Amino acid sequence: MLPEIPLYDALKRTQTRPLRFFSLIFTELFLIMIIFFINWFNTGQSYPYFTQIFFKNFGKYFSFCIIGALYLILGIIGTSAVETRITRDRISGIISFHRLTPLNPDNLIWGYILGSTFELYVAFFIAFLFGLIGVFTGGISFSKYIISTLMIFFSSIFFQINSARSGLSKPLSYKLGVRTSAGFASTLPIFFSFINFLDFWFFSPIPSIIYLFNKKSLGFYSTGIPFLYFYISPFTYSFILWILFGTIFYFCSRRKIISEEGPIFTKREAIVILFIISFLLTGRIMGILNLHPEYFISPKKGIEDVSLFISLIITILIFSSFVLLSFTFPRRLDFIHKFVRKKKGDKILWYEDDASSLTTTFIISLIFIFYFIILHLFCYLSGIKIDWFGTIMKLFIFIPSLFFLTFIIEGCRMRFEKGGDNISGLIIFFWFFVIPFIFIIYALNVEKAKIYLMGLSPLPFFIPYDIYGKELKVFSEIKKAILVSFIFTNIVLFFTFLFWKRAKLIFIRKYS
Amino acid sequence: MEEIVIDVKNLRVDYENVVACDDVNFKVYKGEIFGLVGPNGAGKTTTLKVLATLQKYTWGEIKICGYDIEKNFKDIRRIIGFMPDFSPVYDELKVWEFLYLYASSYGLKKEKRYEKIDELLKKFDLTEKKDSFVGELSRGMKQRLIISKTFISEPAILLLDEPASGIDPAGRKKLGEILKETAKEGKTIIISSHILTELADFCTSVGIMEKGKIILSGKIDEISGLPYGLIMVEMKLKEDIDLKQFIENYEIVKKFEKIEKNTWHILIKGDENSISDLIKFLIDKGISIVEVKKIREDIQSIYFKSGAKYVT
Repeated sequence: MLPEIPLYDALKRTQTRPLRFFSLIFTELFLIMIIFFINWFNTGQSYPYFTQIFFKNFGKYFSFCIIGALYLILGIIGTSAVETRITRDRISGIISFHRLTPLNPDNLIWGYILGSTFELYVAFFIAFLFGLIGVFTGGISFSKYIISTLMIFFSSIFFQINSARSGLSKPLSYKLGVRTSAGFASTLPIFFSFINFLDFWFFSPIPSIIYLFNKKSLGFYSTGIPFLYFYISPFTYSFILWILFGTIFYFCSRRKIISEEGPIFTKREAIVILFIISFLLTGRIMGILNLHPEYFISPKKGIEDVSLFISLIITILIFSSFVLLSFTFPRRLDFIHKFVRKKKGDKILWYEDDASSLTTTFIISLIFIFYFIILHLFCYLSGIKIDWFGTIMKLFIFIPSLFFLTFIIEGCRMRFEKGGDNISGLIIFFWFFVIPFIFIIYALNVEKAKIYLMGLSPLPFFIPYDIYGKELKVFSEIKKAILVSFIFTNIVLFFTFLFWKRAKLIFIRKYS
Repeated sequence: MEEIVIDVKNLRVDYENVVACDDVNFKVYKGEIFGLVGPNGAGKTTTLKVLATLQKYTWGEIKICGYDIEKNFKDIRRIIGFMPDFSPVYDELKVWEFLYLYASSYGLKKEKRYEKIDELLKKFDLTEKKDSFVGELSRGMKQRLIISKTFISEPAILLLDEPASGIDPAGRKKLGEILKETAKEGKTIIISSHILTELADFCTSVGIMEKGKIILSGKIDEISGLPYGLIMVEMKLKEDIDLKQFIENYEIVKKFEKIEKNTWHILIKGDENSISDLIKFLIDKGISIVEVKKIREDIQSIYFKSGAKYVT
């Protein structure tokens, strides 16, 4: 018999009020209807005899879209719902009541995770049933549909655990009076669903789904993920990531739900995380160097003999540098003051500032550049040729794009403080989900990938090697795509600066 | 000998640049209603949060029912009921659902939950609002709901931070009565407030806080200057007669003084039964008594006498 989870029961009650419940069902049916019509137009416009083709291809298109909707419901909205609920409970103080009850931490964490997402599970189930229409009208196979759904489910659970950790750990900024519920952790399922960088992608179910449906066209994954001396499937790799990081994040949440005090990560937890990262980095780098001759020049003679030794050395080096970094990282970053807003002349610490995204972006940019240099150094030492021009171009696009995204998120949040999560969420959703989603649909179903769409998202351009199919290997195509992205990014950047200026004015009016 | 339930020694709590509590010492005995009085920012809420195991402290030694707060915080959480100074509630839940959440969280058996909820709703005059959404309640009602939630687990110790704020006078009176009853059942209550009159009626002991320090603490009778076993009564007579001749040699009377035309202050030895004895004695002597009341120094005057400078 399952144990009683009081918090889940209570939160479930709030979500099953008739009005709210029926509005949820209505919204979902509306979404499914939109998906239906998008598919109709998509299939209809692609072929001359559209009616005939529509019925022929509809099932396939529809199933793909429903898979996207499933991820949207549980992965993206579900993750945000968990973080929002926990943060709000912390702000209101009601979490203290739960702490004083004799309930164990597991009961409380699962109460929050399952309770905040109950209605989304209902929506998930309904969408899943609709997806079966696609499956049984000549679309994708039933087994593939089930596996995709399960991958989405497990990925969502991982992201929800992480957002619970984030909700329980992030500093609440009382000083500024700005209180936000959904934070960076809520955007991770969106980021990770299309960032094929540093293996973040594998936290999302997308690579597994792509691997499942389109093995051949994405050559990089056709034979699996190179890891140490093996090729492993994206399923296995995703599960490794979910279990390793999910477990440590879960233990952090357990600690934080017992007591508000304590750091986000204890030293012990940080060391475990750093060890995991070191292990994964080493495994992947050694795997790529040893097992992927298609994209990297084969290692020089003799390297195989010492590869184990080298991998150990790298692990130790990365691990110790991370440890050193974590212990020496200054609590106050004074050079950040340019990026942090001030209130009445008092400097707000970057980690306490509610509007510290710019600082975060700045640091992320530095880390990424650092990583980029290391990676290229690695490639140079291994005898891999690098397109330096392309690399610099990528950097030029990447950094402003990242700032642009920060501006737009921050801008939205500042402008729509009350209930602003929804509006900024809508824009974030459009930016990070709809566009990559369209790209994925095109990439999967149309012969030539619409690489220009990728210009909307900055990160695919940051990868030093090409994984997007043969057509991108033609230099002129890459050049054209980069140029389009560059122009587009700068146009939106201009508008975002205007938006940002407006947000800043509102901020000053409110808080100074 | 009275049992010490809460023993706080040298408590200090530091926030970033502020010392919220500094060398706080006090003891609370079983069955007491201990009033923590002081202006806003005196450190009352911090002290209560520390006792509720929700606030880390810099140093000090705190024992609750013999449990060390640092080592046995889980045991302590089982025996305390804490009510913060604001009303954190789930607005989307109905009143009974809110109480049900905590009834199930505290492990009450399913069949007893509804019974308990009804009992508490009745006790705090919320029966009519049973099916209303918590968000629809007034501030005072929310406050009562939170207090009733605190009573669900029937804790041995109640920590109430400004429980009467937002409650109307009738509600306050009722709250006072409930607290007195609860204390009679052997439960210990610590109640904080910056409004002195709120505590005056039912507190048996008091701790006066200012700027993070306890400047005076103890039983009200003790700190008001009356030695243990002595009671001061104010007696109003029907006629203006000289009481001296009747009570001068009565053994339980220690001191007496005429303060107004028909009114006398009499210091007697013993407990409340002695007051009855005195009344009976005087009636037997043919004296008509209009009113008798026990006098004790109220918290307000103790507060001012303590040297506290700030009062709300």
